[in-house]
Amino acid sequence: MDLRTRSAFFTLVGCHGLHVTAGLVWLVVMMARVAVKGLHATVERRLLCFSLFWHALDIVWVWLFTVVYLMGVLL
Amino acid sequence: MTDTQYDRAPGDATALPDVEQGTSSGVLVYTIGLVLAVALTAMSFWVANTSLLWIGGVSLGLTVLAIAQMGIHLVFFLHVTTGPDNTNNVMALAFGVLIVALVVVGSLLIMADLNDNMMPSAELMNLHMQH
Repeated sequence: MDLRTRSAFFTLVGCHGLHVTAGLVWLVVMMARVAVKGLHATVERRLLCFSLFWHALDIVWVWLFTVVYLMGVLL
Repeated sequence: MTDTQYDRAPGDATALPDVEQGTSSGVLVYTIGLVLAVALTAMSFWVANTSLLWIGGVSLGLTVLAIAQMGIHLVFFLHVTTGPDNTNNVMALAFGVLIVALVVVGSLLIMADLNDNMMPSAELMNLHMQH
């Protein structure tokens, strides 16, 4: 791997990793919230917002592993 | 002017609790989405690693599989549908895709242009090589 490929790889995967970490923190917070407060309207709405973030992150991951890992196999 | 357009954002709970349940949510929908996503991922990995396919078509196949899987995610996990209560979401998604495409394509264009213009001339390159 040359320098450009490596810097692109670690920037892309690293940024995604940061987002996933933030999402995991959010997930734990939401779990605590549900455990303490139960599933009332406010909690449910926040849970839906979290699911938006999480699945959007998943869409980014689909692109990411296709470009970074699978296309990388071809090189 | 009495007909109110009922638009629902993805984060919104349904105002009509018993009517729209089960159309685009529920365990079954998520399960179908999961199965499709796993199948598409497995196919992508097979396409990337197999030697059975023409090598030139592999990157195109991977692109198609990736876009298909993004569609699966949008429909089954983010619940973007073609229903009338979803028009705003589809428009927002289309606008987001447009802006991201502009930023990405524009950046690539500018970087390629800069790269061409900043490339030292052949003599300069040779000068560098001598030292």
